[in-house]
Amino acid sequence: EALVISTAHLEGSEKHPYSGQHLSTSDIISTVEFNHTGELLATGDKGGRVVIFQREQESKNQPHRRGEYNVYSTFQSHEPEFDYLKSLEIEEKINKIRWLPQQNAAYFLLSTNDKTVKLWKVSERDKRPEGYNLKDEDGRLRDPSMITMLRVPVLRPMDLMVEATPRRVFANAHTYHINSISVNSDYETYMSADDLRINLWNFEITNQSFNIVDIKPANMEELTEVITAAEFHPHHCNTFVYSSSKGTIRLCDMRASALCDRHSKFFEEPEDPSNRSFFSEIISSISDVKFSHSGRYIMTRDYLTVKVWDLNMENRPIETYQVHDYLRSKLCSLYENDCIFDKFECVWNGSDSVIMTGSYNNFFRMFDRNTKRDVTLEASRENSKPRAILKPRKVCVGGKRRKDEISVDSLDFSKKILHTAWHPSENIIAVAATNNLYIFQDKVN
Amino acid sequence: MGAGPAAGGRGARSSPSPWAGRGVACGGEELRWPGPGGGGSRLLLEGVRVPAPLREPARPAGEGRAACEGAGGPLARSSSRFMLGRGLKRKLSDYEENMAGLSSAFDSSRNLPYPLKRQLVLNMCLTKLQTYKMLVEPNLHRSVLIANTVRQIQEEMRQESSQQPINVCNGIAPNPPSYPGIDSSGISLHLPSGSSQQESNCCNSWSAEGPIENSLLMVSDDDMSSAISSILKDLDFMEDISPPTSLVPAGDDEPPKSPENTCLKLEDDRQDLKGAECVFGSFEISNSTSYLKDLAIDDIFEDIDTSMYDSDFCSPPLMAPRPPSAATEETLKTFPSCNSSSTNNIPICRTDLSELDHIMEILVGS
Repeated sequence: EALVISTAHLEGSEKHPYSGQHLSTSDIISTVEFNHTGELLATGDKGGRVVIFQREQESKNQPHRRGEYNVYSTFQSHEPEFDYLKSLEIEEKINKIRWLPQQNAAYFLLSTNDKTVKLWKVSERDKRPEGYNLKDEDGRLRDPSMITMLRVPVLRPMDLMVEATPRRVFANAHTYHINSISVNSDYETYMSADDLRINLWNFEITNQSFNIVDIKPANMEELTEVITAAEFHPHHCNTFVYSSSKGTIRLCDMRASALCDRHSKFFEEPEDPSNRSFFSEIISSISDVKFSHSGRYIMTRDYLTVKVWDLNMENRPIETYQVHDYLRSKLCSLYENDCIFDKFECVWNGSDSVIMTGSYNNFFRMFDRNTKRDVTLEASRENSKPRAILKPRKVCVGGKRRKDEISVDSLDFSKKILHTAWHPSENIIAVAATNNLYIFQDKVN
Repeated sequence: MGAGPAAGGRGARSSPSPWAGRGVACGGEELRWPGPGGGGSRLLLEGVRVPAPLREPARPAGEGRAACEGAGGPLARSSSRFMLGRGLKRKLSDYEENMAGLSSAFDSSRNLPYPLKRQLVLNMCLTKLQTYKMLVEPNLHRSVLIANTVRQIQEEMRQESSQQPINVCNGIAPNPPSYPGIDSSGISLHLPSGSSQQESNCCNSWSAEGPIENSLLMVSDDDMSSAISSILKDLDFMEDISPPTSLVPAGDDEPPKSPENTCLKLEDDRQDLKGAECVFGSFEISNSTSYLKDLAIDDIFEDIDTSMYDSDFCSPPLMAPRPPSAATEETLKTFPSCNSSSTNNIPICRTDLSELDHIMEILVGS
């Protein structure tokens, strides 16, 4: 099936500070990631495709279309595979995309499905050689006896073409499903994490990887905890963290030993006895962990909260933000329909002052760490109409419902925002809502 | 590896790019969630019977696939993703509605006795685990979380029973340990003395009426542990370490044992599990013992009304699958009522009959 993307534009104005784009694709978006400059935005979908958007240069002709994102490249990253040995289908869904920092004219990114990580090179071509001696312009070989003189081929300009080529395939290293990949700050290595193991790779070597974390017990019956996310420290290439299904985070130092089964730091918050329920453990499972850009903090997302931890304090987070605490009284229903297992991601803004995460009903939340203010916004087509307002939403918990508020019982739990991304330096956010991608830009005058 | 498909939004060569500039979202429809209530998922409102409970369809897609048995080629894609295999889909949708009603009652009702809530959660956990068992590749993360919840409940029940004096049949009921969320006044009863047994039963769903029942309880715990163990062992996917030993059962694609097989004896299972630990650990899910067979629920809950388990909630592979038409009858039976025989020990308090009626109404869906 062809991937179809259609775009709609929201024009911002003084009254309505947000301008936005709404792109609708034919497949469910499963990951969103800006590159290190914010010039490119990559999305992966359930069909194994990667779509890269590039920000337009601001033009004087259309000042209101300030730096819009247009499709730059689309390619099929992963195909469905069938593991004949285990009689299992391997999904082609892209679980994560991570960019490498740009080192030359080409762009490099890692994309992964459940089992295989691939390094893709995305490059532009705007010139092509003309005037070969041994073949003509169509590529057919010339009859050598017809060649009477030699010439030097010249490069002539051509229409810009963006090519994506797979440069490396890192396969067969994971028995369980890969949930995270993270590029190291040395730009030479990266790690991939599945439910029970974390492997360290060198970009140049595809037939070997180092296993640096292995929490698989000798007896599977003793298994009580799995790895849910992992990330390298942004500056210290020897340090990484991984989160678990029990709500704990372990920080490891690869210099300490080859197998980092013993953590350097262990972050866990004691349980609040007043909030104890049958589902306490399930909702404590961490679905995402992210270092701040500064490297001083980590942020974790569990089912109901986002927490910010100081690397120097292991016994509790320094900040806790309630994402949708009104769901606490609905946990049994959410358990019954499996929503309680939804894995929400969380992101920092460029200055680490605001954090953002998704919720249900196509809501997403932002928390300002300095002012302690928070806002709930909705990613919907209404917001993308011209002159529409991206207005704050509110969920009414009980009692009287004011106009414009939505009651908990009216929330649509099939519309969940699991994946969001924040531009590394500007107030531009990308929000994936099922098969729609919303890009909002804060018009700071 | 050759060059990947060259594609671009700008300057693509000959054919026009299919995506740029098109105003119509073709094929980009929102997911439609099937459900009896039609559009959208809605939470049950407290005290209001709503035909469309908060729900999502059972979503094995992404959590496991039904591999076509014997298929050599690539699997059919979208159509097979939502099937659980072996034609169980319709059954589960009946079950889903019932469970949704129960879970909403759990959430909205404050006076539900704690042991009943716990039993409900336990049922849901076991049913989920059983559902995952039927998938070729269950989700390890979810299975671990659910197994931990089951263990936690089991531990709690074990502690309760150990705090209960053995001679409860004297009618001496100790004060129930305080549980979060329990309104202890709701449990205390003013009943004729003959029902003091019932009172203690309220507080302790496993209340032993004698040493015999106590030992049954101990057996149950072990069985539950071994059940959980076997689930987790099943999740130990085959790793390319060493080839399996001679204990290999026939073939990797051997389908799960048919429901007509009687439940294995608990003792045999335990020995099987322990004796063939490593070997079983390296096998796929499809040819290892079903945890429910290990559990032999009939035996464990002998002293408890097992009609809850006889329903569509968790029929295969224990029992022969029942026709969907019997589902409504089953749901009536699933909820123990106070006037059932004395062998039923599901803890209920008479003052909560109205709650039960309410729940039953939801279940029956009338």
